[in-house]
Amino acid sequence: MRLLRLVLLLAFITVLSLVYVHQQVEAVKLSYAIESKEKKLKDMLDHNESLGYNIDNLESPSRLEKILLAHNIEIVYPKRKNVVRMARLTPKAEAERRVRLGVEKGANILSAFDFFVGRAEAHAKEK
Amino acid sequence: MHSGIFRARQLAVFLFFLLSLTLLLLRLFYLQALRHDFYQRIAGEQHTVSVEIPPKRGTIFDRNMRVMAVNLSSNSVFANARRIENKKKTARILSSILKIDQNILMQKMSRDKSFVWLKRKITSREASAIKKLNLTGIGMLEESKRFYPNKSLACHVLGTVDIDNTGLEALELYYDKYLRGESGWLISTQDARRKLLESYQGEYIPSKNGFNLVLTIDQVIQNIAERELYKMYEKYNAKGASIIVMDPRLGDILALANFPNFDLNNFSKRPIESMRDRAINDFFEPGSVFKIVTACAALEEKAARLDDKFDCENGAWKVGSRILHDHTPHGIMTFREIIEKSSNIGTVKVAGRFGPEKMYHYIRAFGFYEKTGVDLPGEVIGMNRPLSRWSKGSMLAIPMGQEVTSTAMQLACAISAIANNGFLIRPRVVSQIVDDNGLVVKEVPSKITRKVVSPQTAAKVRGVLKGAVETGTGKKARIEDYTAGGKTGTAQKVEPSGVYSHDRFVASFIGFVPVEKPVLAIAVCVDEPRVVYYGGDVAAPVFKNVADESLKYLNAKGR
Repeated sequence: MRLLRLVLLLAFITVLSLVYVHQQVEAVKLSYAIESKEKKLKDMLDHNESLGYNIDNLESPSRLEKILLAHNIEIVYPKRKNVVRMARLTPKAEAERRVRLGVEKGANILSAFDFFVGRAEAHAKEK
Repeated sequence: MHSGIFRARQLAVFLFFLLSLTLLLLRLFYLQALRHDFYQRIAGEQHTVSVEIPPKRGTIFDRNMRVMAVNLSSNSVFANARRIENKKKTARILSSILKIDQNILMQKMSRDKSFVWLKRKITSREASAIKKLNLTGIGMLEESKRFYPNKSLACHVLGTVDIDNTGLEALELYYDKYLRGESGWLISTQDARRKLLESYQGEYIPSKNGFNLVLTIDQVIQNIAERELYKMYEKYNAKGASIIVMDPRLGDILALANFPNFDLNNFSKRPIESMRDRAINDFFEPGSVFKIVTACAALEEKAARLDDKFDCENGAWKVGSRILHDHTPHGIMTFREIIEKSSNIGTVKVAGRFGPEKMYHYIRAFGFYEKTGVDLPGEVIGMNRPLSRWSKGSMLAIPMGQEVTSTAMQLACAISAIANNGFLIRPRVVSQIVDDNGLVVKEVPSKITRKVVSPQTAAKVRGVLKGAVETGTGKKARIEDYTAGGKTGTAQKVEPSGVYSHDRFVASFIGFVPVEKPVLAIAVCVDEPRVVYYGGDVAAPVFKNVADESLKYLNAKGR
């Protein structure tokens, strides 16, 4: 009986030790996996940064100018006399203009009856 | 008999094992208990490693958040000289890839060391070529390298860093403590191959990346300024040239360029002459552009009115032993015309009405006796004598810009003060320092240094300078779509013998646009232009082209 207990105890300790060793081995394996993924992530981030740098490089004003000149394309700002500036309407004025042009209906007391005269359908067909 | 011998042998073997076991246990006790601390320390040193985590140097952006300087990963090659099998062959192969002399490589590999740098921060092409070869004893480490996507653009503003990413010049040096960041540390366990085991990570102090700089520089305006300055620099075969484009309301430097310049990505190959930021490092006699100070002093002190008339002596005026000359002979002219036509004689006569004390006061007020305070390293003040050391003839020279010195930056600030209703403002190149998340760490606010003249006087001078461009010496600065004001300057350089040179000049133009509500103040200074050397011919067209294109880019209202 005593021997059996001793054997069981030894077996228990052995299993416990094996679990511990297994755990440590898995932890080391996991470390390698993490390191590999981290390296991959870092490489990708570095690649992303270098691509960003390439974009900045390609968009550099002096580089773009050189390319345009190499193709005999000379871009200049227009003279002010060649530019027609359109006055921007206020939202209220814009709404009134749209009503005048018939794009939108004006708000009036009879507009509540539009439903009965089929104007809504006409609007739906307007494209 | 036999059994006795057998037992004796058994006993001997037993005793032998018992003794061995006892010795082993004793040894174990010695190692585990008595020398525990010693061996634990050695094991710790082998397994535990503290790794420095380098910070990422901050990025530099222009005012529209376009990248101007950034750090990217780069490889550095090292050699473990003890492990290299055929040093001569390895040196020959690496020499062709790294473009380093074979003898230098051989010398490095001959050292009995396990780590020798062969070349740091190599190109990606060089790195992939070396990786493919898989040479024994040659390894690579990842480092961070500074890159500038616009190459030479704004090189004198951005500056450079050394091989260890420490700022050497310009903004890289001035704001180094913000840009460099702080290293972090990781204490971890490593395996026999020195690979870090993440699962056994100990203490971790993350690195603090450097802060980012947001400049007042506008990449597009900077490019316009550099392009136009370079055209002129080449055309007139000048020794050097500088341009500063400034927002006079805030003191923001929108562009600052000098020629000769250099490529920031290949700065080891640059000539020393190209390194100097002439706009803040070089001082010179400003010549006629300095007449704006005399004009301000006369109007502010009410010593002269714009329609007061002065006799300009038909181009030559003898005062004591000295004869003053005008470039073009003039007779009777109003004060306004004197500035517009840039008469030396007329300017000296105007200055005679208020005297040296007031002249000195206004030169000081405009900041010619002090640094402008721009956030760039190495700014000089110039060599201006105190009033007590002025000679009797000083008032014949100083009002027209001789016997005084100035930097291009000081001139830009002076013309900005006139454009800014008489308020002298401190120029700035950096507006904000931000962290990686865009949070503002530090603001660099606009700062008014002092009030130099009243807004009324500033407005009057602006009107006069508009006349100088419309009908005076600065006609080549006239812009079709905008009103411009400015002053030309052509200063003789002083020879080593102390006399004024007749073939070496500094041509300049300082001005602002539009006159009604100035948005830009521009200073153009050209050192020793050849053949043609007048400020009105050399510097004024640069002003015109830069102002015109920049205002259209900024969508400013025109005439």
